[in-house]
Amino acid sequence: MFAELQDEAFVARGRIRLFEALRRNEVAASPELQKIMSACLMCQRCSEACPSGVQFMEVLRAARERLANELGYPLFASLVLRHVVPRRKLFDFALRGASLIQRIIPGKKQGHLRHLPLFFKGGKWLPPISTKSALRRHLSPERVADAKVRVALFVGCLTNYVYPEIVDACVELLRRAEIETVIPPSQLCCGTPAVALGDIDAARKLAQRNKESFESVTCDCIVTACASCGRMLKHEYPYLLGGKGQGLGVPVYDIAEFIHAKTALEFRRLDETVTYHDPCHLRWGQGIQAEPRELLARSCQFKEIPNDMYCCGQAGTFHVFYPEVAEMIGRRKVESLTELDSREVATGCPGCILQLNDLMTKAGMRKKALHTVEVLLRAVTNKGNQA
Amino acid sequence: MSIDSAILAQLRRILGRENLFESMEKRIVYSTDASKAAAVLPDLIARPTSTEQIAGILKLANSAGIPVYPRGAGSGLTGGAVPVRGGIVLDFEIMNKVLGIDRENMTALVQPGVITQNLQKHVEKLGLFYPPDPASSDFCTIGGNVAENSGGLRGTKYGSTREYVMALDVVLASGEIIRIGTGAPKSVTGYDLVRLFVGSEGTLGVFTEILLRLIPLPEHVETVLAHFPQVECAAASVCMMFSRGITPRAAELMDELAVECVRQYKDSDVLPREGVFCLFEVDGPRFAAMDESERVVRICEENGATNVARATSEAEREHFWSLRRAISPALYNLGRIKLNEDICVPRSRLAEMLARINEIGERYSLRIVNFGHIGDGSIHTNVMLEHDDEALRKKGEQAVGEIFAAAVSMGGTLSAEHGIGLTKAQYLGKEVGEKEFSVMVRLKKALDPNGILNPGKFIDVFPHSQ
Repeated sequence: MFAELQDEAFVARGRIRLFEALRRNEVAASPELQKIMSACLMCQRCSEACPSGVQFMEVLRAARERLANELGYPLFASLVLRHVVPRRKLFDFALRGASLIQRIIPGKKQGHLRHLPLFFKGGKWLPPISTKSALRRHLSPERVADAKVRVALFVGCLTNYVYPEIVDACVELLRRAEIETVIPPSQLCCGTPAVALGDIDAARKLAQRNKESFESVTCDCIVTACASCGRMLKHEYPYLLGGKGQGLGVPVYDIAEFIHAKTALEFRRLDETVTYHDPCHLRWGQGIQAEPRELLARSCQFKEIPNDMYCCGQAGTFHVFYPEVAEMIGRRKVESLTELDSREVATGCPGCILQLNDLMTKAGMRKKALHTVEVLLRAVTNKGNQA
Repeated sequence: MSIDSAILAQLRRILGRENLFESMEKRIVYSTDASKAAAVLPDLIARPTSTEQIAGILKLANSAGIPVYPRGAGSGLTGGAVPVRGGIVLDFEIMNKVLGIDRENMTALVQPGVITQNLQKHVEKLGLFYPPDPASSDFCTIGGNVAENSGGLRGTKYGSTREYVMALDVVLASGEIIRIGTGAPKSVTGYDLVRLFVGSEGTLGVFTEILLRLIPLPEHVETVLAHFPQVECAAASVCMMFSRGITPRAAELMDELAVECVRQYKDSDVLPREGVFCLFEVDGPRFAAMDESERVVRICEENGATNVARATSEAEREHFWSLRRAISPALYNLGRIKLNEDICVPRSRLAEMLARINEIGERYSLRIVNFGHIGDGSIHTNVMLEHDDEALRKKGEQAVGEIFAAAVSMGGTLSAEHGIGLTKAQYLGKEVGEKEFSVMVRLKKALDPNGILNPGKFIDVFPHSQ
């Protein structure tokens, strides 16, 4: 943010100072204050860089909650988060409707369709909403014979509705590692957008429902392929669910972290050159950066992006409310990618995939962003036990 | 002080509305800096984009008696940018362009808001080098570095910002624009006003363009990490290096308490329980640097080092530096508040100074952590306070006062690189005599008769009352 605006209100120190002032009633909750607090990508780079170890996310969460309480939530978003998202069938129905409208609206570019909420703000190119969500595709998952480990997969909304192939890849990779996957069908949104908008009550409700959902299946751990869901489950759930233990009761892993540490998968090295984009919520949010790189280096011709690391600018709700800034931030990322000859950009977050593909489509680049597991699946050599 | 609607209207005309922050939110954000010194809120934040705009603002402020506080990134540790008397914060963050690089003559012309690390990266791509390297280089600005005469990690060999400032465009309090210094490599025409303005902490004039000297980028850097049983051995090694003709570009000490902090912070059993660390770097043509680093290793061993390691890869070098960088965050395990000072003594007195600090700490029963750039005699002493408590703070400040007195008695100084600003003003009298201070006051009066430039800082505080 600061690199684009050169305004100290939009750095962590300024926001912390403002939150202190708010708490001491030196400043009133104002739309300007709300704008300053909401225009943060929550990339958590500041906490990583902080020489004093300040946990900025906690400050930001508290600030947004208080401002939302005093000034109200964005009406439509709040309605959706409180009434549609917690009801899986209604959510499915809404998305199917959106999918239909998306297909009717004219305009197509490299297989991408218009982004609906941003249709009027200069447009954004999206992959079509999937006709069958990941959760519906995997209603009765395959049994893996003699599986020693059983993991529950947390899918996440964007993956569920737009990128179900990521779930397919995860399930197949785990099967090859002789690990059984269960996908609790009643799982909901992780709650990240609700925290981002300051609606902590809505987030807590989602967290509780997810806890019930995952307690209804037996599993050794929970794995997710979404960087933001992973960060939420690992770091926000213990707070939202009242502290004790792990929040969800079993360990949570990112898929790359899990494959790297807990499986003996083997890969042949593909000829394609692939690069890797660090999702903020993996690198800064969960401290995972070496694992996906090592996996990619074993399975393809891996090449680093020069002058990294730039955020892609998507940042969940951020790009809906601040599309111009999101795009300015993303442009730096795209510039850093142009020098590379690799066709594919692997990453660990569906939000990044969406944003990178949009940016690269707009820039006329013939590159494609995809999930790390999709590359790994092509290269895996283990056969796995058949059911 | 008053900013009436007529002045506000003129300021808006000069700057345009988007570059004049007036809201309560922005005034709070710009009311302090990295020193966290408390302040009254500034009335306005002006974000100029040209020398002419700055001249217009100062002319207006001077005639109305409105205080003006130049500000880079607000990363200063002594409160130099804190608007203690209200008025206008003059924020340089959008005057951040590198105006030109002269590769042949090795100079860079920059605006004050350029971030130091951005300039370094920019010139290094051209095989050039801007050596001053404050620990905050990835966010501090060149303008702030010039105003504070910042030092940094490479000061041992390359000196402070002062050595690299060739010429300045300065706007005086009256709004007059002057150009001092020259791009010529040598010049003795008239008084050396550049040296007067460098390190003047925003109290004499406002820089708008800065001509910097660059040097060729050293071909190779070697990094050595040495473990000594006690701090005296590290100090002796540094002195021996110089006497044997080696000028390390960095020599960073971590004393016992600093090592202990890092050990706990990193949860690392690799670090020994006793002794101190010192990190050395030498640079130059590849073979010369490699030869020098071998000699550095030998000198450390001669002085009783128990373990000396040369970095053999970039990863290992990064690991060595990560220990050094971990000190600051690790310190907070020892106390919530740190009184962070940056004394400097002649190299030969280093061991004696460190012993004195130790003794002072024991007498006050305070934990004092020392680290820093001992190659140039600088020590960052951190008096740790367990909690924010009036009596404890008072005790800490007394200890700091004694440390300063000891440093000065050994021919040293209160501040090697952070400046005096607000937080150290009360101690200035320990080093600067009354007559000398009065010369400074006369200079200040000549250049800023109405006292509008960065008021309330050391020059406005008579330090001899103690």
